[in-house]
Amino acid sequence: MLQKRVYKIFNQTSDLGVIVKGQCLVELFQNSAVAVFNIMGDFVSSGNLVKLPISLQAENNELLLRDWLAELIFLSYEKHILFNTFTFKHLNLQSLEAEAIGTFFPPDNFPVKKEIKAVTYHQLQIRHSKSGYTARFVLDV
Amino acid sequence: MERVINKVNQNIWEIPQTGKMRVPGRIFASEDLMQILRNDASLDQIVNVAQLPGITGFSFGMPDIHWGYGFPIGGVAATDIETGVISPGGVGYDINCGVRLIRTNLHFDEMKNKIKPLIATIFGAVPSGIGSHNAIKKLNLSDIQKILMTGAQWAVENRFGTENDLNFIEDRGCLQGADPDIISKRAIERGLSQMGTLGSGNHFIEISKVADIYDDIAAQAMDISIGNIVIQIHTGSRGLGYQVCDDFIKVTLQASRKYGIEIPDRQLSCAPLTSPEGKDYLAAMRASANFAFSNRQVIHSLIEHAFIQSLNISPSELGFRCVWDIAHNIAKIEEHDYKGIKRKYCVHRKGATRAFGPDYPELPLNYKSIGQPVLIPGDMGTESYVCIGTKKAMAETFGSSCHGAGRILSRSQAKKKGANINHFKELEKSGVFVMAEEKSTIAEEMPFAYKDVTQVVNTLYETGIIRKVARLVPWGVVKG
Repeated sequence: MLQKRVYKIFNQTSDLGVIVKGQCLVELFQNSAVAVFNIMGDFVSSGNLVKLPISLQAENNELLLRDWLAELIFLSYEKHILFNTFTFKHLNLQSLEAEAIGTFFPPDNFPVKKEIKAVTYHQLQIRHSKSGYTARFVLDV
Repeated sequence: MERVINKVNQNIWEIPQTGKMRVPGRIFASEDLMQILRNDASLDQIVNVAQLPGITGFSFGMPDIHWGYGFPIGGVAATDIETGVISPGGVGYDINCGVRLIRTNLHFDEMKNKIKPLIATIFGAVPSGIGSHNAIKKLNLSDIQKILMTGAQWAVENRFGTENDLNFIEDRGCLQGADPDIISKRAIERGLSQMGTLGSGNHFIEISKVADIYDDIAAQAMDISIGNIVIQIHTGSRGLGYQVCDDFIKVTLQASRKYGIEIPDRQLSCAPLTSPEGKDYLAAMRASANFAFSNRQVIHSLIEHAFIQSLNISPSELGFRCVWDIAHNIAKIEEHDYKGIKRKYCVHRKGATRAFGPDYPELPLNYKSIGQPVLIPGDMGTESYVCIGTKKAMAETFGSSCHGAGRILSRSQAKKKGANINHFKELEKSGVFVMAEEKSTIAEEMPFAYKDVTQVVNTLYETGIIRKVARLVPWGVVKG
């Protein structure tokens, strides 16, 4: 089961706004991914685990976060994997190398309850303060 | 600080042109609807859209306007094709999300006890929601190339419906100028197994009865009468369209910088219509729109077969025919005579419906004298409207109107409000039988999550932008 309470939903009339916190950038990216897959639906790992490497570059950490989430969603839908563990070999403001680990489900039994069409750029932001990092993004659902 | 909004006259409001706005904002709303809107973020989005280069006239908000991403939902912007831009955010991720209305020979009084098995048959025939696939055999690359080029024509050639259906689709179900070679491999992959599937969220198939007719001549042209059973299909270009939008926002983010275009929201990234980036997006968007036209045509055919199977009747007894099929997330190059100057514009309609008036040359013969049908679905518990466009719409809104009721509550607010309600039972008590792939969707889509569609439609009706033809009440619904 995916862990909860690493994120909160804010009201956005047509779509779904998400606020995520993390002590460091790695935790922020991990928690953001956890939030996305938690929104897609709670599921029980069947033990059919798959690991996928992900390598991305972007102009800044906000766009990198968006691309990271968009990549995970694309891989999830195309390969019928629901990810729940995310490890980073490298993450800075403009690039990342990570591994996403999840459970493969047969296409006819893909237990997603909420379709996320896209991770939008609307109000996308990452803020850094003494207490850590906060990300805000809007999902098109 | 409350935003300045001036009342122009009944149901028309204006946000004055200030700061970086190139045109004023114009909102169509009754007093009651404006009360809802006053502090809504969608008004900021109207101001943002007003800053796009080449925007002409106004940045419009229709009465169903609500906070979206980039453009507001219910936003319309016409940009000059020589000096203006095209923005993927002005179309949205679900390119050519739209609505099709189908008429039948069936009468509600003869059908009263047949809805449950009928909806169950349709639910089985049209896969819906995330991961839905294989409604028809998986497409190959040759199929998808043809679909992206020819739209609904491909479906008809593959025996999903008839040639006559094409006469009753905007642009005959095919936008010219599509280029499949611009579509990414990822987008193609996402489309391969999704032809004939219904999207999730607010997408639906609805069986309704015609409850009221307001315009006998227009209703006759559409071949609908009181008591008739009709069907609405609301879906779009599925994963293929989402991916194309995602791909091209990256392109237009770079293009905005390259061409020195200042944008107030990254989701409004854009490219000049004359630039290679703008032309590429237009060609890719058209191809995606063609996928959506084909998708609705295939679903039309799957529903027709479900009716025939469930009711054990012949196609001629059923009399299934497309009344009209519209795109409400789209950008189209159209010629408009605006303020006495005839020019071509790129009309972005994000959650807005084309509402061309009478005498538009491309309308089918049936509708040439009355204007284009405008399909405005409400929520699944109340009602929907069939309207027609007017010459006033051509003069004042670049031939555009609203697209639905418009959300008033966010999804989480709707879920909270309906936490202790058995939504299926509530709807059934009001005479609507619903089947849904994902039950939690129903809580988000309950009538209280939406504005009053009658108020929305009447706002535009009273301003003369649309004319009302018929009111439809829901009877059976399939949700994604």
